[in-house]
Amino acid sequence: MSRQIKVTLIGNPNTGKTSIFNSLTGLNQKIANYPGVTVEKKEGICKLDRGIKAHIYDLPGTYSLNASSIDENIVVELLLNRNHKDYPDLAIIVSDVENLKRNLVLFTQVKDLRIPTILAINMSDRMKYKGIELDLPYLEKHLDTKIILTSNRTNHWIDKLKNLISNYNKLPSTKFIDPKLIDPEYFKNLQRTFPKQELYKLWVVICQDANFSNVDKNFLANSNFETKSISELKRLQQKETIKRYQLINNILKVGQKVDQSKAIGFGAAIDRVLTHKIFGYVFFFFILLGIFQAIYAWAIIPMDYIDSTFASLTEWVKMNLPSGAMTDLLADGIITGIGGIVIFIPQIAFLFMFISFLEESGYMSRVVFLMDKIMQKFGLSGKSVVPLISGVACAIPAIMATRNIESWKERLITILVTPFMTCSARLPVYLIIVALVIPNETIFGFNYQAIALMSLYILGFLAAITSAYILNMILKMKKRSVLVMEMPNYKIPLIKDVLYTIIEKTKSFIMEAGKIILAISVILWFLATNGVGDKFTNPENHISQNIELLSEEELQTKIAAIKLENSFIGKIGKTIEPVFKPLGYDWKIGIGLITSFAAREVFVGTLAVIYNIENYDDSKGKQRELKNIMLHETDENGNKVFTLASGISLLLFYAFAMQCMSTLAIVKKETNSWKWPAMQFIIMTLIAYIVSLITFQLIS
Amino acid sequence: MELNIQNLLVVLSLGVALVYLFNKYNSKNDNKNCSDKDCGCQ
Repeated sequence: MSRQIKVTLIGNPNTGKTSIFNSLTGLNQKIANYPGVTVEKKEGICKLDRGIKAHIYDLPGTYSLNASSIDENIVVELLLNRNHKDYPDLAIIVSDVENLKRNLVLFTQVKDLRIPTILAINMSDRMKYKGIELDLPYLEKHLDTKIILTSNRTNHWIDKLKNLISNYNKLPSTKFIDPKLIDPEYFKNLQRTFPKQELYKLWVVICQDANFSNVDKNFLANSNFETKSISELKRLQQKETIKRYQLINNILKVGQKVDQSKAIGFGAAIDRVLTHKIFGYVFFFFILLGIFQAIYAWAIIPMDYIDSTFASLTEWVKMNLPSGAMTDLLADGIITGIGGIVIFIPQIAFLFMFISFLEESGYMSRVVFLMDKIMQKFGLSGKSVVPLISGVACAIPAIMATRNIESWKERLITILVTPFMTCSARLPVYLIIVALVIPNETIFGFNYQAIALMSLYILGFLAAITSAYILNMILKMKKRSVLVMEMPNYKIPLIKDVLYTIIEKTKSFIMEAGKIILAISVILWFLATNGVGDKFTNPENHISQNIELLSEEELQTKIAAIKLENSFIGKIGKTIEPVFKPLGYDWKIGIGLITSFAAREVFVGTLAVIYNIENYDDSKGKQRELKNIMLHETDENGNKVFTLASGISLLLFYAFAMQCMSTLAIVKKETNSWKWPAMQFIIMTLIAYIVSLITFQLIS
Repeated sequence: MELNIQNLLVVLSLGVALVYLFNKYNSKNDNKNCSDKDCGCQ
């Protein structure tokens, strides 16, 4: 049986932990959430010599063990709890060669928890450009650890690191500083009260009072130890940090030489342009344009291919399998449902390719710096800009892209308001309704229909921003008060890391949200294809025209319309008609609203079935045919169904309502709770209902 | 709905979908690592 060890990668943000993780584990990795929170837990397997199997954990970036965010808290909780199932046998502290002094603070803190450590000094290829020289034997001796120089541009260090991991039990687990140096009286008293406990660990646990965490401190309450006030604890923490810096400085004075005259760097010059108060925004605008182009236009090509492939597969199943309910479910429910999941992959891949490039290159931090001041006024983060703009193409990848927003409140607000942005699935609905009820005339050379369409896009944006502002005032959550951030160095992103990100994001979408989408697709299919009563079971008997005069296609179209009308979904549509009547909708539109919960664009296809359009396929001719029928559609009193009032009411309903099960599934995944998608669905539907009701009543 | 193998499989698939969603909806989140009471994990 192979021996198994647990290794954690710990380090400050932007030190390249993930690159080392990818190099050690390859594709042998799985991504999940830490229990209860939506912080990513990355675990991978690395096979070592002598049959040793190392479970590698890539922990969230942290600056110290004084946690100030959910991410940092996860690191602290793991390192303090020896009973945690992921408690490490070995910690690899990943440091950035250009910020070694600051990175060593975390290293010394972890070392003081008596965990065997290896110091990986990453981005070592930059040493020559920055005039940095390291005396490794000296550093190893005085930091009492093994040091390895790593770089994501080379691979020769991997075997050496694996070898060090295999021999982890030979690594020293000595302390770096004696906590009694911080405050002799306090720490002696602490040691007297808990003689069997590790002193530094006790101190870190006590400190969490002044920090973010909620680690178990019951043992303190049950003792007679008098701890200090939060402000005094903070003062001691500062004293500890100063002490560590003093010792680190002394070591680096000898162990590290920096010759500024040899340093080459364009970072400051590039920053002057990219964070410029005019050019910075112009550059960012073009970046956004590129992202938008990719997920709106380029992704369409593979999406169309996926669409036609699944359509062919559906046809093949229908032609080759014995006819029956299961074949229909397979063809129209399961395959169509899977197609509805797979079709999002190109957009997700393109968006995360861009985001990964922006993050890896160091530009994302500049975006936050640039946009944060504006976005904070609405309770959003500088990083919210990318999800909001991406939401114009599709809310699914956009909501997934909120993961890099550190503040939970800002991230939640971004998730909740992104579906207001006008996504591409709304476009087919908008196009047909706008063409139907808005005159094709011009004012000052501008077409009314174009103005209406643009207004809907602006409305979506305003709804998102306004809701964010309101949510910021309503949601009582911890929020960061000031923006403190590091500007990482510019780097050329590694294709390997970008690919890993794309694969990981796509996989997590398919495995989590995909299953929910598929389950709802099966239920919707069942409701739309099953029903009770003679009209559903024998629709041929209820066709008003002479059947013999109809062609086979006309007959099948009429049968489909009668069956849909009398299916469970049809019955639901008719039952809820009184609810939608004040908005100007009849039961046919009601059915469209229910089926379009699968995807908004399904609304048009559903109306095509109800209005007996043969073989509706989104072509211009068929769209014109559908538009003509809708134009002349009347209710039982002979009044037109699609008027200016009902049309605008319907447009506004689609602008505000959460008519998308895939978005709800991804919100569930990203918030780790049904509470937020349920609230989002109810509130957005209520807003849509009220706005549409007022509009219809006022115009009509 | 007649009782045949295809219909049986459909009912089974529908059952699986409903049970899956029900379980997903009722799944209890382990909040022992929750550090922020508003992090959606209560």
